[in-house]
Amino acid sequence: MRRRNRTALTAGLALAASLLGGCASLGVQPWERDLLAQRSMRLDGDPVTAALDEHIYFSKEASTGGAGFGGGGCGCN
Amino acid sequence: MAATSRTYRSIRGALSAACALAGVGGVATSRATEVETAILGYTEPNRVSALETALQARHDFGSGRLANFKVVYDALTGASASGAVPSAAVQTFTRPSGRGGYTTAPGETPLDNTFRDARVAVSGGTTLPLGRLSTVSAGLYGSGEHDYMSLGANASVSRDFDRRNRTLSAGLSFSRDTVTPEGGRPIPFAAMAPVGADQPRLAGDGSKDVADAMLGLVQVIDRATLVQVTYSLSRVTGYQTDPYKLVSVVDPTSGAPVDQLFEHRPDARTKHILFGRVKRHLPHGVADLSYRFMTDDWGLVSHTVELRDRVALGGGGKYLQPHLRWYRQSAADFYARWLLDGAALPDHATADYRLGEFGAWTFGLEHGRDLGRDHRLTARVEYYRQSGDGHPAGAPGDLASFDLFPVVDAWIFQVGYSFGS
Amino acid sequence: MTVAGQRRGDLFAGLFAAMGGPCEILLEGCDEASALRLVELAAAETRRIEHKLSRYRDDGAVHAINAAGGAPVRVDDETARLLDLAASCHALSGGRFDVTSGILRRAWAFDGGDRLPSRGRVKALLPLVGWEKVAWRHPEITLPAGMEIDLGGLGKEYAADRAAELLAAAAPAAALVNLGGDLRATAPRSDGAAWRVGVEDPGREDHAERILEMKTGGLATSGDARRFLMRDGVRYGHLLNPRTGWPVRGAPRAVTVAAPTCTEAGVLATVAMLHGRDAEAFLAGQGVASWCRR
Repeated sequence: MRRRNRTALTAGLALAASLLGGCASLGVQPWERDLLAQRSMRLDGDPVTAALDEHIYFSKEASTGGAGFGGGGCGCN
Repeated sequence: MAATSRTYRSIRGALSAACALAGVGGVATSRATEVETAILGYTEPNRVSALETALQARHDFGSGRLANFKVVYDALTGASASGAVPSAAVQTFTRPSGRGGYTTAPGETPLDNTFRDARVAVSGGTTLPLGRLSTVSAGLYGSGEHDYMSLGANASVSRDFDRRNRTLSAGLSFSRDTVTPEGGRPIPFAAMAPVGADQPRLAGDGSKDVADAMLGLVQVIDRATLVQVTYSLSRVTGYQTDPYKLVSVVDPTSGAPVDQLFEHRPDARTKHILFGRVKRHLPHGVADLSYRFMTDDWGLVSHTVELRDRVALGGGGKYLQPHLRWYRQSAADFYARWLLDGAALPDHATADYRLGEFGAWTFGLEHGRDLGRDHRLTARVEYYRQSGDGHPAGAPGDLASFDLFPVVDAWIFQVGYSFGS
Repeated sequence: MTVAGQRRGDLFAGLFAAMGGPCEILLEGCDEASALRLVELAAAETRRIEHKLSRYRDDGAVHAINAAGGAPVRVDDETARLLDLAASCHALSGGRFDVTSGILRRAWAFDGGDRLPSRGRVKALLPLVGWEKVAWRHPEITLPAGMEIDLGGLGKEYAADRAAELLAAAAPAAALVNLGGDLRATAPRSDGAAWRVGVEDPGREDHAERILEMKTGGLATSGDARRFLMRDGVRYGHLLNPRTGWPVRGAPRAVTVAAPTCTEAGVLATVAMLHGRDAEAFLAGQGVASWCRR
């Protein structure tokens, strides 16, 4: 079980690394940022909803965090 | 005049972005304050209900200097599963305070209905530019409820590469949590004393330290697509036992509870979390798909897949956003729905369903619209349903006939209002 | 630093010369001493940018690029950002906005006279025009030998934005920067009113001032009041088509655009002029306030 987890994690990190290494052709020119500049494309577009959701799932499940620093600081779990 | 009927596409959005990159105008130089507020109702029929209110303010001082402040208040009442198994007989449990008790009808899942708590969490932080391409951020966090307190600090740095198409960030966060449970901390694996009798307790408060390290990458793929990958390592040391949770010791043949023991969890936990996300601008709106993998040395593995698909509805910033979330976790190594009378006690045991094996779905729908310039209103409804194996193999005697993992379902209602200038 | 100042009602007006013309800073809520210091700050920033972008000062960044004779030149951060912006403008305008087209002025002298260059003379310069011939890989630029760039088309507006942003951080209240008709206000007047500014109107032959009102953001004008040639009843404006080397036909006398920053306003005004007869149609699609004068 433990070993399988580690394999999955290694595979995930390898995927991330290949994404990083293979991005020579990725990206846009400054004048192509019109869509990316829209509010709806922000990665932190709904901070309050994200924080409330994080708090709910933290109190119902064994996993937290991921996108940013984990919730925590709550006696609910 | 001689103007033709030809129409020209707007270059203004792209030009604004280009000017912002050149160091004039745009986000980089406008002073702006954004305030987001929300009120959320959470209800599990016959169990917990909670009301949460949140306010976040973000001020942009220009030139890449930002500050943010957030306060969340929530009030919670109701009952939650104590971990004890149902029984064919009426069961009496002592309240955590030791004063008074509550009973559970035959066949019912024991719910501790003592919960009534209010929590306030406050956090603030600032981001400052470090040269043209880097930023440094730092923040403080504190929260308190009547039996729990948390204080934390975090710091991170990020740097843009390749025409700001790639951002790498690294951060650290520490927090110290203090648990002062009602009635004190029970001795792990001590049997629950009857009402009025003395419950042996551990001396002092419980505390745990949480240290997180995070590495993140955000990559622009093309004009419409962003990818985010984050790896986090989290190390928690100290008191992680839930002082209110029980594990039933049952008779190996009848399945009847013989004793109710306070649970006991290991005092160290190391978590690895890998998170990946793709956000894409589509003709109809914006799709946001993420996957999270978590594994820890308690033997837990979890997978979370989440999809939000924003569908723009004409003008006025109106949209509908369906939300789908799928979650699955394996059980912790020391999860035990019951312990058998006469068998040796394990090193650690918990019957908290949140450390058991289960799956969960969330279905949600959000609507948002602009209210004039710079004001937005959102409303959402979500349904959450958690289910596990209610009839695990090997359940002795009566336990085989009871639902040992009752479905947890919850409704979430939220109204949000935000404004900015 | 040669700046002058005077009180005008509740405003302080600071005056200096830079970017080839008169410049004015209007400040709210300042005593005279601190206002003069703020004007000096804005003047110093404007002159710093003018110096850096000058094609003639042999210690400026643009001069170094133009004098490299085909060799690569490493540029500083600010110049790099302006080159990125120039590249963006070139792409967004379909090649009309081109910082390499200044070399055509060797053939064209827009002095209000009637001397057109020969077709051959213009044609001979065309191989030296075209941003697509420039190798710009941040932070290194290589111009083919003989080519030149001129960031003057962005410089004045950029300087207005930079000076305004300095004042936004340093001044106690709202301020307005006017660099020879290219304007940027840091905020509306404290009573919520608009700024009233007298600007020379390049669309009017009598050079009379026109009063403009703006609350915040940038405002810029592209025009040819004095920079044109007249031959056989045809007016040749100073904006040249980088593909033909000849003035854009049918362009308005002047275009004024209001936008969040002066730089955006300036680029939109220039690109509108470069659209010639279609200037109004181009502006109609941009969602900004604009005025064309024909």
